[in-house]
Amino acid sequence: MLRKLKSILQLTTADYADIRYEVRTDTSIAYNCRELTGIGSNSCDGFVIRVLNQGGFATIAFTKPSDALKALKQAEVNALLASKHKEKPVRIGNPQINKGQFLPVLSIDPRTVSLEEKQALTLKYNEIALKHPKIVNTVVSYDEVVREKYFISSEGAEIREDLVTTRIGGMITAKDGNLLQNVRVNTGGSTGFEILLGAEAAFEKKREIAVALLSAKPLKSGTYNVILNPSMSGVFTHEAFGHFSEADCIEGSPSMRAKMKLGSLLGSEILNIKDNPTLRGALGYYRWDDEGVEARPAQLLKKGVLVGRLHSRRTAEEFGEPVSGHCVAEDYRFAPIIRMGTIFIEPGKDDLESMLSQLGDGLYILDAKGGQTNGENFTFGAQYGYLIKNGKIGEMIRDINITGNLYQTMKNISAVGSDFELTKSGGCGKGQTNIRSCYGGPHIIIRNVVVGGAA
Amino acid sequence: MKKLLEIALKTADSAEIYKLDTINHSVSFENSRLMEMESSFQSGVSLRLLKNGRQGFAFTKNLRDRLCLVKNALVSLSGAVEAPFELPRTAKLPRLSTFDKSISMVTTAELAAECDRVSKLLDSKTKAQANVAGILITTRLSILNSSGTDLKQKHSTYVLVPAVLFPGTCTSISRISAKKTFKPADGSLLDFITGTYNSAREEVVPASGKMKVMFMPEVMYALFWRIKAGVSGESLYRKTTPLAGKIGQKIFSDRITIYNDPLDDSEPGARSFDDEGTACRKYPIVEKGVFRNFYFDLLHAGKMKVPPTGNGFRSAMWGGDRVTMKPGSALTHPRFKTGSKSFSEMVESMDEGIIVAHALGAHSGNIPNGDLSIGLSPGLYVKDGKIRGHVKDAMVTGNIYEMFNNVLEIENELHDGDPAILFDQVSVATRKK
Repeated sequence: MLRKLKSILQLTTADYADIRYEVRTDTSIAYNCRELTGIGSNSCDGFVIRVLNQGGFATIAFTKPSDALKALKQAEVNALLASKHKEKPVRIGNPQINKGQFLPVLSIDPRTVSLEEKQALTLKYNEIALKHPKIVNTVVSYDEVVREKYFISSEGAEIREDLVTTRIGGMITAKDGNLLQNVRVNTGGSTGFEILLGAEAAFEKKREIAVALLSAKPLKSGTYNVILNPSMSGVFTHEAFGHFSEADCIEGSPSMRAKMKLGSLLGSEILNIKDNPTLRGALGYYRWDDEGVEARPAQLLKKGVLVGRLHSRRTAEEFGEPVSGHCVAEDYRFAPIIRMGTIFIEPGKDDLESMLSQLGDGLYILDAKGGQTNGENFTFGAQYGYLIKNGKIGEMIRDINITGNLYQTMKNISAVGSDFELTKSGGCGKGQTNIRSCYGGPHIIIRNVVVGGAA
Repeated sequence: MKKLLEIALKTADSAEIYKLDTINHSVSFENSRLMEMESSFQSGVSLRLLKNGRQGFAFTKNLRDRLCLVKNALVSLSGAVEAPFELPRTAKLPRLSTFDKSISMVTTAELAAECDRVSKLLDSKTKAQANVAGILITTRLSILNSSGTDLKQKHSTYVLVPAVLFPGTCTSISRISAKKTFKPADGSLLDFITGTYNSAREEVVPASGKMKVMFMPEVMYALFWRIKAGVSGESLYRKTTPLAGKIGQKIFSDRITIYNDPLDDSEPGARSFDDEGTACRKYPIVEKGVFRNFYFDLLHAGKMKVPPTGNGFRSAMWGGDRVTMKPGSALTHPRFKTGSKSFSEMVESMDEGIIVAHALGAHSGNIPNGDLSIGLSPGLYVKDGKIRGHVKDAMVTGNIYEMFNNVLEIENELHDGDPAILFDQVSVATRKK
């Protein structure tokens, strides 16, 4: 395949070009309650070409090999056109001529496990989720995505890497009268099929939480002091800070670049944030990104001060900062964009009991339920929570969404826990989807958070 | 496709082939600089096999090996996924105007020039950062099934997204313009964006509380996700809708009429048939507040033993790759009946309140229950009938079954199918208590 890709690239006269070919195989098994709604395995493939010509940069994705020449020419036309609209030429510095093959070491390769075994495991977890009369619906699925990637560049890079991602999970819905409450449950990772085993307790716990939410108190909107559990602090880190540390999110805005200048004090001095795609065993682990740069840990915030950010080759040159290996595509249909790998707040010194005591009155908010950012502002939902009075966990609450401003909120972090937990299934919808975007961290306390509730 | 159908029918009772070819060109400008230039040529085929009341599904982007695709569908078929329906025989559909061939002649240079022009125009009227994206899309869709259905439809779409950003943020005033053909941006569209931005330039922090809240057309999707979940035939079958048993009952204010109209070809994307070949038709969802119809694809119509409504589409909340998805119940062309006041008259009618210009986190929260709790990105603060500034770090919360019973006004025109709607007594949480 690498030879075939080379023969396509040889047709270009551009200053730089690269081509990525991928075969993506999806295996999925889906249940809705006790009904099997889908099962099967399918492979798709396609190409992405990127061209830099006379300071203009352009990309094209295509699926038919017979379109290769047409696609290359379109990319060259677009690159020249882009060069005419640029005030200054695009550069992609930091050349790394990486060559090699990386096939992940999987304790049990899911590709060697039969569809029947995968179905039996999914069914078992689904049955656990359904085991209560007030559970009216479950959507539980097995999802396995294998990306076989081949990358070459006109600089001489030649890379082959596989990414294997598995997950079992979905949503559990409880109903009482007209009131519907749902929670998410997931287990998975990128280390092999074995990571899916032994998750019975997680499904049992989430079933009971879904039922308990039917009697939980709707939260009143307002400003609260809150403790976030690792799932929530992870989403906070991803949504509130992580996206702002992606260079392409601020590149086109002079005012945001001024705010996100390296050396700026952005958060509380107890706050340290890192993105580390080289963390073995974490969902987000990879060797090379989708422009052939070796992944490396990036310290983003140190004692509240911005010390780094995530880059592609182009933005690293634009900002005059080192590459970080964070330019990742969803699959063969897309050009890579800057994305987080495994982002987290580094653990601090407080245990949960001490944090409850520090909080006094407020909310304990658990397990993320989707989030979004527009740069400076963020929002994300929680699956459930509890009122805290005098440092004691009290009544369960529901309908919790948090919103805030990145700068104010990071300065309002008053405690960082000594525990640490990463998500087993990730996900990020920035333009494309990244199922391996992993996040987590310790418990944290944030003061004066705007929380939208039911009323 | 006919050869593939022949092979498939050697092992199945019936079969359906769905084929989609798409060409996209996109350009984006940020702060008057061209940032990205992307194109894509994508194609794909998916296959459904039906046998003994069960279905199998498979897809590929390169149909190199028909036997392999059929084999994958047979493996899927062996999983015993129920299929209590027959593939439709559909012919003699109304001819819709969905394709302007001139769009395929538009060069990426012309697209970039138009985005550049719009960017400079916005820039000159606001002294703020302008971002502009332009996308040209052409699609060719074919559905062939063993019942004799052989349908084709071409679509052309030109999407322009002009936006003016508040300093130091990604929040903006923007409005999507989608047309079937490539035309220079309408001046009134740009005037609306720049005029609204200039009125809302100052940041304000109003107090929390219940107040009048207007949802702009750009954020009606956040409310529609919850309506769609409630009136979906799939939700009815899954027992996850609060509207079960409520056909004929009043669920919303009598000001609210919602109908589905896939045949409306005044906008891009009109459809005479859905993604499984069932004829599309116009029908009411809510009439003067009274709930009229659930909507169904073939599968869930079969399970509920009712006729399909032409709502079998391959779509997900965030779009998705249509070739790789099976059809499900989807409401793709909803329209509100318009009201009597213009946007500016609606603003003038507000003593105090918030306009939700864009939403953050519209997907989180309890959608089946109709709950929403979304960040303002931004909101616009209105006092004494005038926009006084923009609001950040704030949320609006509510439940659609309460909000749509508290409707004050509906805009007198639709923007991409949606009007602005003004609600009374919606909770707003801000930094100021």
